[in-house]
Amino acid sequence: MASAFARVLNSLSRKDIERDVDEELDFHIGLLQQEYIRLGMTPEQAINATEERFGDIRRVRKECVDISKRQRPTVLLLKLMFALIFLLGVMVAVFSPETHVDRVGHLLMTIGALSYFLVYSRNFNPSFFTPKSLLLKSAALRKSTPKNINNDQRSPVERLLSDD
Amino acid sequence: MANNRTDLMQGTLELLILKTLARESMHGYGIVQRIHEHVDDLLKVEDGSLYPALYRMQERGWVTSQWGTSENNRRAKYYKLTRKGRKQLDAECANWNRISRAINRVLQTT
Repeated sequence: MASAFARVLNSLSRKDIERDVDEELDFHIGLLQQEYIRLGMTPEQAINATEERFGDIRRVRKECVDISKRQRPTVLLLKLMFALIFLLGVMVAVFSPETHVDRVGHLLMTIGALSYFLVYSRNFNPSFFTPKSLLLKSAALRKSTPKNINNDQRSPVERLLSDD
Repeated sequence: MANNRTDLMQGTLELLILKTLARESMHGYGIVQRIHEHVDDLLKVEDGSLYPALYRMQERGWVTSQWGTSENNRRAKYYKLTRKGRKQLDAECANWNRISRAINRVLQTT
């Protein structure tokens, strides 16, 4: 249930946010590396100098993705919708004349609160709802990625992220 | 030389970004290059720290961003100061002047 919900959320926002952030950082890191190479460094030296000047790219990327997700209209709309479902549940539970209607109110409150929590916690930890298969796949990809930057088709961001 | 570089004070990077964008819209790399030119190696500014600051400023409505084509024909995100950002720049400049005047006064008397 949670992973199906996560997939819907991912399709709405996560991928394009990460793609935009990567593209922006990629542009910056690419230009920096070109500049260092133009100044006479080898590609290897240029990568090291870029890392030093840019700082911790993982942290920067994560911060940017997290901030972007907060401002995402779809996330805000989902939060609003779940808050309304919760409120509707409260109204039904308070004003219902009969016990079985009262239960519907409680059900709505639970759905609203849990869904809101899922959206909220996803903003704090993006990998929380990432299916395990995807995580394993990216780890395997990272292992198989060649470290030699000659003939390397990876983007500058991917290179920095994978060269541990 | 590297030892003489001072870390930026909290919130100062935002002031530098606002001031840099006051003249024209720019992409992140352009902003940081301009800042490096002006601070002339006196301040330590990590390029990466610029982006979370820019994203937070966008969240607060101080800047807007738009994808465009850079001078080397690549897709780049350009940032532009909003009216709210310009007001913030005025407020932060005034605040900075007040703080530096106060600190100078203390340094001169003791």
